[in-house]
Amino acid sequence: MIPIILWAVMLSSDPPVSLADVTESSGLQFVTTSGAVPSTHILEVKGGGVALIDFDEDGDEDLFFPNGATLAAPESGPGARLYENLGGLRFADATARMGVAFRRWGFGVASGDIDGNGHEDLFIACLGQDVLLLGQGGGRFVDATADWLPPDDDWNTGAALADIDLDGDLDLYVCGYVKVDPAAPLPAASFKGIPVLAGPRGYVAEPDRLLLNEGGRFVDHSEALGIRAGPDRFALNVVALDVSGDGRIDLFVGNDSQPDSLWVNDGTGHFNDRGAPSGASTNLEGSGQATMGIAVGDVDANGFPDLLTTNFSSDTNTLHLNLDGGFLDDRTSQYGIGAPSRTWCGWGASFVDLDHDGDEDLVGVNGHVYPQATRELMDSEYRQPLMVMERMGPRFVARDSGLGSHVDRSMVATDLDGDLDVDLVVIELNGPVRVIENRSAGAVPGSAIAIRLIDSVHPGNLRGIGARIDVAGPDGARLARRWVIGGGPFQSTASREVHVGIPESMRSTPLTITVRWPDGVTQSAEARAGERLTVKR
Amino acid sequence: MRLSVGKRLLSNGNFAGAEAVFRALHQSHPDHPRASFLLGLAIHKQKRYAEARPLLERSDALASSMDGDVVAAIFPEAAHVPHFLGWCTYYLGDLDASARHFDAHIALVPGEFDSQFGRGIVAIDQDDLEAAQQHLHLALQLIDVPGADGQLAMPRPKDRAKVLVRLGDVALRRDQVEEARAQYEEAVTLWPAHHEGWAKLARVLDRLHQPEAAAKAREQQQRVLEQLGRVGDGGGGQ
Repeated sequence: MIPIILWAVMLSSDPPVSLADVTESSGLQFVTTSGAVPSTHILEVKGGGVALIDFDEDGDEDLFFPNGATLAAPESGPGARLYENLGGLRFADATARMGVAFRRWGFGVASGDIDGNGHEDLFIACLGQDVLLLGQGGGRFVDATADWLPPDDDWNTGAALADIDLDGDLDLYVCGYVKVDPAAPLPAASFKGIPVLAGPRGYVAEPDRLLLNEGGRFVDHSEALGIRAGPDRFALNVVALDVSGDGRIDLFVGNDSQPDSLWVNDGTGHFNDRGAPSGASTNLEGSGQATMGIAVGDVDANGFPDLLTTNFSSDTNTLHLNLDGGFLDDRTSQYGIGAPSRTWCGWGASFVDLDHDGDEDLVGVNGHVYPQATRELMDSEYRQPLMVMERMGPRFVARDSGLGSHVDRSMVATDLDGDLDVDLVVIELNGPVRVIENRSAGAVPGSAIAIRLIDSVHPGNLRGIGARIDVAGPDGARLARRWVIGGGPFQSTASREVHVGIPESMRSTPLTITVRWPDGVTQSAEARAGERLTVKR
Repeated sequence: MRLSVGKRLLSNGNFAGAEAVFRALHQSHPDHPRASFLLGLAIHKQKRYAEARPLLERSDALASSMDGDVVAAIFPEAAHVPHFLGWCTYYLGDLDASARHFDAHIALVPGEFDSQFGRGIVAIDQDDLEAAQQHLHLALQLIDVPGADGQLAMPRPKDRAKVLVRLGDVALRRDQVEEARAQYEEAVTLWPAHHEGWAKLARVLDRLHQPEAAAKAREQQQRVLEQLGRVGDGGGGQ
């Protein structure tokens, strides 16, 4: 038992989290487009995501931004951007060089080797027909939409790739949002007495789709696999991972202004929405929230993935602790997450150990949807700070990043410069993409490990999406559990590389890394703090 | 005249109308603590807490700078300003300020139920379960305080249900699931329109592996939400 006074000293002496905006020196000079400024239509306020993709196959994560368009020309925006990671937090625009010519209104994006040819591909969820760009090697892509994707005319948002039917290749879940006409928004709604752009209420929800990879094409199995069992909802985001702990991929779908869905795989490949009976669909009060971001982590270290959702202002972000795989309890208050988030409108989020103290902190981006938002009118500003919540013992404590306020929408957290700490890429609505370097004092060399997977047995899921990774000390006690998830932060592809900060006492001892591959096979390897480990099979 | 009109609008739930009246009153009496309070209250009722907060704080500061007898004469609601500041700051996420204001109100008006209740909710958010339970039990006791005639006041089932639901939350947080169920069941029995109570009862029944009873509780929650015109707000799933 640690005496309370000592505990307080330990907490106060913990090196602080420190982040720095290095966009200017990064070479990443790109302003996103999502309609006009100020936003007047629901289409304009969701922004787009970012995919981490190693398109040049040099071992680091490059960046793909689908980018949006405008109401006046929704089919012809300024175009997607592909950035090559040059190392040292520097990037080069490779869009033209690689012949990427996607110009439609893209929202979510998922990357993975869909056709199993050894090169990563890109799925883009769009307004109208979604798009599939297949990597050909050498950084080249071909548009395989017509061959691979069923026709659709929906507005789709988040997407996740995972081997859902466990046949060794990547399947696809696509979130459907609302039916819209870019030229005809609904009449204004009201928020706190202020006229605001309408939606999602008042619009008709689009259906979600579960598409199975049948080699050369995706086939819509939503109906047969149970995804259409309930009413369509305003889906914005999805994560694919084993929530229930039975080794099969489940799907947690974040819905806007409605209860979330937890599609649990029953073992036959059929899905049941266990959102309500599991407790995951609503907050403790039984209210469906406006879920945008989804973060996955083992907050209570019980081995089951906990789910954090980011939500609208005058509400709270919500942490559902996964008690036993079957029940997820709202423990937002217990962990100190609720109160600081009441004035935020939250979007992309991730659990990451920024300061390498062995527990995961919480980072995310914020920004209101209503351009009129001020603290006086709506208790919430239009431009908002990053969410940086440092894990301090039993609670998360909000920290000022010192990086100003923005109208952000999505982010990914990954080690961009190969120094074994996690950096951020942040996407602002109609603003410059930002590169944020982790300069936390605790993130010193030799204080973390990074683990990436290569699955040669199932080359169609080369990066092991859906795998679970444990890190244990010499006594076998688990230090951390992580999941390689499909989908994630918000309309973006989460890092497939797992990052674990190692407490000081464990930095010179051998660590055991145990991978449970998506097919249930386990494999162990040894590593030490300071290593970037690739586990292959 | 403006005062009585504004107060009538406020009590009728026409908060925007009350705001307009009290804004005019406040403009003509910017240094009057009651004018500041009433405008702040009308805005608070419209859930614009950040705008209401400085008005209520100014009201409190103005009243504090005056002689007590004068305040009593010109501002009969003065003692209750901290109560509304307690809720304002709570909804703005400032838990420390909220606790401070509720404590101040409890000190000024010890018999006030809703500040003990609010203080209990703040303590839950601070994960101080002992304090939460203590404040919520005190709130329950205040509901039962007999009047001057020795008789209990109106039964106040809604207030009692509100507190019981929060005591259920404390029990649930302690993983005392049966205890939580008992609190939630008593709450919705007392006040069947408590949709949160039904939702929480469904949650514990699911956790107690009673899916049919949970589904019925969830149906009750939906029924109440429909009656409130909030279809699709909660529940969900199968």
